[in-house]
Amino acid sequence: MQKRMNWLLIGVSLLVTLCWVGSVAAQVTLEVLNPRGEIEPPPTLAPTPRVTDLGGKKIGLYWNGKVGTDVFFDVVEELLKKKFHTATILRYQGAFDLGDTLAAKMAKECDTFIYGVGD
Amino acid sequence: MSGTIRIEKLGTPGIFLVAKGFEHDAQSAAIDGGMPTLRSVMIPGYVWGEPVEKKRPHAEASIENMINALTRPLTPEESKPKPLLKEALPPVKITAATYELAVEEFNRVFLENRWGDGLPLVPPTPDRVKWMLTGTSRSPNEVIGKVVVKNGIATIEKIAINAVMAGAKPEYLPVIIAAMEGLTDKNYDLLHVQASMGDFTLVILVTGPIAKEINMNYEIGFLGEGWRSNATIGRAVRLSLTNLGHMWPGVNAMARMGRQAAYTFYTFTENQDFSPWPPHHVIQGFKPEDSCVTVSTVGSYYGYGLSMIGSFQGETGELALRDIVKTILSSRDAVFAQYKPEVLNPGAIPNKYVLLIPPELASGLKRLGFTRESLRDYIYDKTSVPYEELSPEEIKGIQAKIKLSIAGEGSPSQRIPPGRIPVFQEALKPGGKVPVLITPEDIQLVVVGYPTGGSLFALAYHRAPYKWGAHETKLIRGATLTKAGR
Repeated sequence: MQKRMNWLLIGVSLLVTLCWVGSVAAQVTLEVLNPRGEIEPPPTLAPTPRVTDLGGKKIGLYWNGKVGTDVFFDVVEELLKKKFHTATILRYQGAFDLGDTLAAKMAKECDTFIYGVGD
Repeated sequence: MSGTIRIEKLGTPGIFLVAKGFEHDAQSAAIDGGMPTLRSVMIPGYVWGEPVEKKRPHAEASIENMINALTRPLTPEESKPKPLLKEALPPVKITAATYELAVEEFNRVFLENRWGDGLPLVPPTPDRVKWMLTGTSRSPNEVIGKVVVKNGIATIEKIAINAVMAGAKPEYLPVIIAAMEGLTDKNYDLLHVQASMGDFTLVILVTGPIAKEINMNYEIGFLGEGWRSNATIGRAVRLSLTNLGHMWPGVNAMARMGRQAAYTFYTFTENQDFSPWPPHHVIQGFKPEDSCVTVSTVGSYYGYGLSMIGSFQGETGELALRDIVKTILSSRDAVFAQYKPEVLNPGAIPNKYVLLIPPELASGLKRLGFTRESLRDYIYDKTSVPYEELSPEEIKGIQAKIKLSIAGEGSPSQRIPPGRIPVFQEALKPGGKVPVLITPEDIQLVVVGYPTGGSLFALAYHRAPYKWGAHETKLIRGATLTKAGR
């Protein structure tokens, strides 16, 4: 009886193995190439340390002329002046990316800035 | 975002304001600019175009966040952001019980990674890409340019991979490459097409003998379905822009409604059988026997998208001329009187046009004595307004534009390109005529459609705030499977 059971177990094991091998043999592997463009990552930079207080500071507000932002900045200017009486608000307008010349001007004239653009 | 980073790099700290729903876009742009921890403040609402009273709550709700972001010391993580790593782009292996299931799984994986367009894709296996590359003699490693939004490098091989996915044939590949060369040209403003909220789309016009060799449609249904070359050339460009530029709707592609012809763009060829004029590319300085691709940015909606100028039966050239001039002149008030240097008003930016002229009408126009060049110049002249007819508001607007252009201030699209400033200075005098368009080249005339009767359509574009270029023609070269374009 024990001998018969052993043979039965061996038979079942073989059957399972054959089924597994069969299923593996039936697998299909599709290798496909990556369609994304390679990117050269730019060097990573940290933002500039913050000013500790806006009191007495020159705060630049930059926009690119998109309708609505001017009025929004009017309210921002009003709220900043209300809270920081000694702060000076400087308004700037130019392209979506302001470019080197205007960036240099703003960096020279402002202690800190808020940039709001749209396209 | 790039402007904010530009000032930050000079040592002045600041913040970038982000409209609600654009947080991913802003973060993505900060990473692209190399300053991943740049501080942004989200405005809880949409700032443009709302009534003034609606802006106050937005400003009040966000002012404390702005102050905080301007003054709170940087955290150690912000002060030392992790270096950006180059993304590995290895081949992808998909395993399944059957080929059908593997293809299905491939489509799932690609779409989940944002590498598709939502329609089923053809798997770009190495063998199939190799087959695609048999269509060109150019090296697979040749770099043709970088694709915004993230400046992914466009090589011939990468374009071929996307062409396979689109279902294109190898003989189309040189056409697809030329289209990508046009879009990645240094003068072409692809960023506006890819990223703007303005739903812009593209015309991809194939001209010259190669168009017939690859069986492109130029007659009934030329903008429609049923033609493999038209459909898959456009789709290959669509997928190349998505995958090489790493763009995705709602992440860094912000077209509000999406764009018309989103899957294939407007891809077609001229009806050279019935056109009375040499191919379109000849006016761009190429030879008649050349084969070329012209890419051109056009709008989708709001009067810029595909719209009918008029329906003409027979060779009624005079009527068509009247209606073309009337259509272009309809922008006069916005372009002249509504121009204000301090406001970036899209309506005040002079349009450029792609006019789709049915062949019979084109023959009628030729019968009136027009060549493609003289017709273009005629329309430009007739849409120029005599100085004596200009209102004081219009003169003020034109003067302001000339002044801003000379100073080089504002956005590029608010200015007259340097070479054209003297034309406007000369025009704004007694006896002069001020053009509504910047240059005659802003009128592109394309003969296409069923030979008889038909309607005249226009596609327009008001240009981007970044660069002026929105129309580029490139020679098709390197073809190996067609007689043309070699």
